[in-house]
Amino acid sequence: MFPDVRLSRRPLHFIFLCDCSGSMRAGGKMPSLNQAIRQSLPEMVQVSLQNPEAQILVRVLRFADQALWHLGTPTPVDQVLPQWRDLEAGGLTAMGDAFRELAAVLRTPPMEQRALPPVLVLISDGAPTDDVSEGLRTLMAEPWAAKAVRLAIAIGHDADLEVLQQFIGSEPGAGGERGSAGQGLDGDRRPGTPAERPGRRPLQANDSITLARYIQWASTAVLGAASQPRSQVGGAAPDTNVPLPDLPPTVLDPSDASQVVW
Amino acid sequence: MERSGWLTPRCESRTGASHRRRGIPCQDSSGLWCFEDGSGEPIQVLVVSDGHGGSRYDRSEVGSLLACRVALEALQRELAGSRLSQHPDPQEWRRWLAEVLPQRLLERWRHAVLLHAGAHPRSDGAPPATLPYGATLGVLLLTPHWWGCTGLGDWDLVRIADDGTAELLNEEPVLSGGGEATLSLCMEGAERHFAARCTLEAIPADQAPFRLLLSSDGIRKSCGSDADFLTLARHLGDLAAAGSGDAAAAATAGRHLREALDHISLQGSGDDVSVAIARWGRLDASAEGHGRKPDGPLIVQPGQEPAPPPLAADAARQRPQAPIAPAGAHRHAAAWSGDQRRWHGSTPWLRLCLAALALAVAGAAGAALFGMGLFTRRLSAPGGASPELLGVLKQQVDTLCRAQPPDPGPGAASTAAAGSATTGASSGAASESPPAASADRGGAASPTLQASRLSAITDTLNQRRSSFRDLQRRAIRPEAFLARPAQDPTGALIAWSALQSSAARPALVPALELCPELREALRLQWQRAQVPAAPGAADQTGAPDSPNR
Repeated sequence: MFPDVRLSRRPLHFIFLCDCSGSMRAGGKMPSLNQAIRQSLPEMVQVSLQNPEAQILVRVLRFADQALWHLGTPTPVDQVLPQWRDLEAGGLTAMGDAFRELAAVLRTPPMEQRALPPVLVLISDGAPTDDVSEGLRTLMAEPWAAKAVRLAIAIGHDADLEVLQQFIGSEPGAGGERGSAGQGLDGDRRPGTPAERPGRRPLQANDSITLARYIQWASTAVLGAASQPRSQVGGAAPDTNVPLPDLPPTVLDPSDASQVVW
Repeated sequence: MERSGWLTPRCESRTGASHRRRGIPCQDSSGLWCFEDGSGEPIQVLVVSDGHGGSRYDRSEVGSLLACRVALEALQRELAGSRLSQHPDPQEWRRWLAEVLPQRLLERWRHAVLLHAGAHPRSDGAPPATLPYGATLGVLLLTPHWWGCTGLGDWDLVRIADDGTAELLNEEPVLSGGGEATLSLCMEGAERHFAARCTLEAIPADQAPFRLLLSSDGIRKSCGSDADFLTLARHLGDLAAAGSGDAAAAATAGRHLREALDHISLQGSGDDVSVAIARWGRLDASAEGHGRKPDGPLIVQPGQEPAPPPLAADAARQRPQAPIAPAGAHRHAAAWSGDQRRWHGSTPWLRLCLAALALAVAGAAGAALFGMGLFTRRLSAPGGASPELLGVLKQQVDTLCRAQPPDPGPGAASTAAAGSATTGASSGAASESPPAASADRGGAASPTLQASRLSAITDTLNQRRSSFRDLQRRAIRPEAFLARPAQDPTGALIAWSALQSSAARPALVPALELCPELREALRLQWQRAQVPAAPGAADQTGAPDSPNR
């Protein structure tokens, strides 16, 4: 209709930040992570088809001794699976470096002004071994990082939940309500307090099934919510822009004795 | 001698492709009013408004409609009784646009919103408030000697010169909070923000033809770049100008403009789109500038699309929007459903009161229908639930209950930790299946396995306590979950159990075979949802992967 006008969908950048430290070799964590990501890709394509106004572009940033882009070019979601290479584990946990790399790509340019809030999913099984505070400061200084939907998945019990919580944002509830053993609370609501929004605490994945479900949730339900733009009144907290859907069930098969718990 | 002036303006609003697909009403509105001041000088007012999306602003389509209405009425009331010639200083008008008008406008808007809120109380009992009606507002005021704009929010104003050169004159600065952040009428002290968007330009005697395009953000966000947006603005201005002449040409131009806006949303952002286009040019003996303009306010907001069957698998649904009568052809309030609404009125306050009364009656009727459970007509086609919903529910029950596990035999140790919930058959439970469908899935499992299964199911449902409570308190309706079963199968099952417990509507709810553990776990959740948690009460199972595992 308008040959000299470029009409286009709004870009939605979905970025996995994956811990590829040596500890991810243990217990089948790395194969489980690779499988979970691979399994989520076809469903992400379905989300893309259901939300044609958003152009979903996927990237993967791995961090071990340093942060390197595993898939550095924003790739249309339907083109990711054919070129997917499994992540490999080995080295330290340079999470701070990952945050600095991420900050660089969230600047404008290259980020488009008309882009939808990006979705950032941080997955880690341990504690950072570099200056993560400086990296996080660099990242959160970028406006697009503040606007982004930030999720964190802790693999196993050795993950640094405090750092993951800092990545997500301030803890819900005054004074920070933590469960026992540093785990997040569920959505049980006390009288007079607002319901806790799912995903506002690190998601704890202690087995491959739970990991897969959380990654599926992040890459489908959350992605679907982020694909539907909503205006927000200026000055409101960025996390009120994309209402996160409820978490998936994480039921262990009681008859499956082979399930490994990290 | 050639005389120049403002030609016939045009405004349009269209439901965005994304909203049409999801059955969400258009949250954009636009409007215009052509009238004369006290000395007979012609004045035009054009407005666009964009309601915010999201659950917090669930009445924003009303907010944007009211914003357009009160803006047109406020300006008409202020200017119809004044004489522009007696106030020739444009700066005096600029101050009025920046400081005085916003206060009056916000006062009227808040009053209209609270009137509507009072007539339509919220189901959660929250007091009337303006937040759910949040919307932006852009206003263009056109006189023979100057033109001005004011407002707040993420609308844009483009000027297109006679040679086709387009220039972005006015845009909202980038706010903290992101690309979707915008100022809003519902904000405290919103009046203060109008001044920053206020512009006033004098029109010289030899002014060449030009156009002004006022648009909501859905258009600019559909363009690959600002250069594309400016080129598009020029095209839209051309479409509006093509309607000069007789009524047939105007109708054709209107149709083309609507098709263009639909195309922009479909190929671009998917958002609702609105434009209001003003044209300065030579007035001649043709219909332009002489009585072809509506003599009352014209407000455009597409009527709510009939919601697609929410249980259908195909979420992509394009519905053609109904054709519209040419502007000025009729004075009527169009039907609310299916058609594009165009309001014409020469007695604005009477119309506003009648509209408020109509809304109050509609709200009371809607509440009665809700109480009668007629909304559940959407949930199930004649004869039961849709195959998709039934399939998802059965699959979710299977996932939670699992098939009959192999009996490990006497003396074999259980591999799963026992949960803390009690076992046992439920009696009179809210979630009990109909007697005819009460086949016991886990009947042959050992007590230890039953306990571990109940614990696992309880852990799953514990993550959704907020859903049980929201349904119990009617803060959310079951159909919100049942409309998207594939996306949220657990939510669909919880909503199913909520309807199951309603004695008034069991016939409309599909029957499911639950294992005793699932039945018991649901019963416990509903029991808990009725009791507020005591302050400081410890959480039993904590995170999805509790230490109990």
